[in-house]
Amino acid sequence: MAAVAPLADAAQPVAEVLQRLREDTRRWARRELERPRLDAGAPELNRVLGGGWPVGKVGELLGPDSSGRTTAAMAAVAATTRRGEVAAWIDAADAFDPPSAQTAGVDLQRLLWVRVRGVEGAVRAAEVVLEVGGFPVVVVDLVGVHGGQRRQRWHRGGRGASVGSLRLRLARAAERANAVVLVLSGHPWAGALAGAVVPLAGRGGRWGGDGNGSLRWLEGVALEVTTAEVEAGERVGWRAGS
Amino acid sequence: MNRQPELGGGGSRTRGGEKSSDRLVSGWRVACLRVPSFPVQALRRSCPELAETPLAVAAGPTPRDEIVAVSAEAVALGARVGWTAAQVRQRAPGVKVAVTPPEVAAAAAEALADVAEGFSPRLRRVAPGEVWLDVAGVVPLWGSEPRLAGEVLRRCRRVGLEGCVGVASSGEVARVAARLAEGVSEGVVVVPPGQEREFLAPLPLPVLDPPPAVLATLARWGLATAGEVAALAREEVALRLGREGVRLHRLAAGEEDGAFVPDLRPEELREGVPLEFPLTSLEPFLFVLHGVLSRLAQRLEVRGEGFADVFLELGLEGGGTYELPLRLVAVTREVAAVQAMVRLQLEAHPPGAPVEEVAVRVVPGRLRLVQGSLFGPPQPAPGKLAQALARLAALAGTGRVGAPAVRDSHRPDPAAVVPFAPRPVAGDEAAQQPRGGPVLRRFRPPRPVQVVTVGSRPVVARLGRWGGVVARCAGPYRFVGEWWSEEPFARDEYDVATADGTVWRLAFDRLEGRWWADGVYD
Repeated sequence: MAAVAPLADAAQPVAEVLQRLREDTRRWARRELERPRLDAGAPELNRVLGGGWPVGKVGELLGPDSSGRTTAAMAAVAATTRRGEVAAWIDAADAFDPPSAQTAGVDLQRLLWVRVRGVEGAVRAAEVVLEVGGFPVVVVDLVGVHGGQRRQRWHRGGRGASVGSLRLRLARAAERANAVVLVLSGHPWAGALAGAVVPLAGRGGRWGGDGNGSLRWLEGVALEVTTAEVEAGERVGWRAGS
Repeated sequence: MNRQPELGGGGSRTRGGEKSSDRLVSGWRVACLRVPSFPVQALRRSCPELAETPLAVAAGPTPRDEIVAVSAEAVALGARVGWTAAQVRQRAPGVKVAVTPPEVAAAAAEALADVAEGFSPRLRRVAPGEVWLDVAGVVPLWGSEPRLAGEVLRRCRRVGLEGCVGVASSGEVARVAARLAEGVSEGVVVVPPGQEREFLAPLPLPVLDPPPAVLATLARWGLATAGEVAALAREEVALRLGREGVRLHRLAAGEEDGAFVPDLRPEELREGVPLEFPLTSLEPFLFVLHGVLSRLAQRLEVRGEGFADVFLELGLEGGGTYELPLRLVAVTREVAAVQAMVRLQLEAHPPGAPVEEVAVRVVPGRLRLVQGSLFGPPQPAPGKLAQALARLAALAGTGRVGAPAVRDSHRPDPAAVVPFAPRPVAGDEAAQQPRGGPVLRRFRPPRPVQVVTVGSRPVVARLGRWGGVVARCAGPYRFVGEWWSEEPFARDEYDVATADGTVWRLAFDRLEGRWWADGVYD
């Protein structure tokens, strides 16, 4: 019969394990803080994100309609193409508007637009693009495409991948390619695998003109960022407006 | 008796030899690429499962048809060329008798020509399984003629054919050298320039492939080697043996056989295979298709090209045909990507009858090459990008992958997709600065929306459970155009913020009298 160690004797190893865990966590946090960042294309977003989108991670832009998710993603893509690099827009929502992208400063010749169907198709397309290399940012537009976390499985002809496996595949592909994958969604999708989550609250449009019977025009969408970025082991709340 | 006939003096012989030698030294260098037992190799290339089978290929399907080629395994079992199919079945029962379909033989011959074209643009297909290349001028690229010939054979193997090469100053001599090369381990025999006559002199006459009647006459005269025939006076040979005799004499003397007239090569490649039984389901069809596409990819590889346009040609049960054109997003040599596109297209447009014959026609295209910038940002590798684009097209569908573009039109949704070919970064390139403005998320197609108006301005907009009272509104922006065409448009667009915070683009179609939601600003 095996001898059971008294509780007092076991306390010492537990303390050592906890100490080691703390050190590992600090080391991981330092590494994450030193992770290179990709220009988000807007000074306010860069400030909120601590320098930009973390490279090699999935970034998530969440919010309702007119909250500015697409504007924020397009700013990152525009900054990338302005540097002469190429980007990809995996458009599962089939909502991408080239004239808007042009207005936002995106060099359309340096943008790969993939109008794929379904979440699984979008993740597969993102993997294919990331395998090529040379795409520092890949946007995956899932707005209105999936049904949130409660829906765990999409079936297609009797086969389908679970949300968990899809988000894991996407995170691994981003890590391998050393690229930023921006997921646009109405609800949290990447979960704990997201390197940065930017929840946006819809604050309506920014309007020009006085509107008192005279000329009025839409200048853009107001962005209200309430970031809960998972970084350095703690959740930090930010609030900014543009 | 081995007495030679007196046909002329030594002066004539010497004169002929000098003339020949002068012309040869200043003339062509021709490589003859030859595939021994070509019908057998063509059949095995198309049906790899026959690689180990003792095989005798007949000229036709009946038992009386002659055997035209046998594999080495069949020779070991006793089968011979010239027997009938019935004789082979009776005397060598372990040998499989088959017929090489014409399209399979044609595809193998084209593959051989593809290999040759990779070395010289001037080539001539003289017989099935035999190609002559004009290699004068290209030898310095490879260092020497044996090295050139060795590389030809290596590429020949890549398209599934085992060949041999002879190099000489005339095509006919190169052909003789290629035949002798079958017995050489390297598969290459090179005849130095000007030494054709000496090379041929000791060879027995059957090697020169003379007509049987001429060979019998020469045997009666006691002539057994090419050198003995070359020693005769040509005029006397012409008197006694006619045109065939002169041809043989010229060949035996190692003389040039006229100008090298190259063939015009077809732009398209074609590979096909007839099926033993009709296919009714997709999976076995794709299995067969994979072999056809792989052979095409091998041919494209030796040409340095890739799939650009692909046309699937199916022969259907009952005599019908079915052609399915596929336009690839980018030139690629990846078989899996092309096959995936075929699968998608066939799932969407099935042929409607069992398939009896599969053929693929390809318009080849040059693979994209880009000179990267030393100091610019890294770009995707062109080869990998082309493969990825083909895979994405297979995943998303044709016309749904590429670079976005804006059509020059005032119609709603002027989005277009053009081939994705990012240009390299130019040093003097001015970065495009954002002009700023709202970013629209399009509804494709536009959704009908319920709108209450006061005057012409919307005051309530509702799309399903979204929308509500209009808090702010800008517009109308009026677009009218193409009234001269069959599809005119006239619409008033409004940017509208509803009470729930959503900003819409609504449009009133003045021709239909209906409201539409074009999208939502985000």
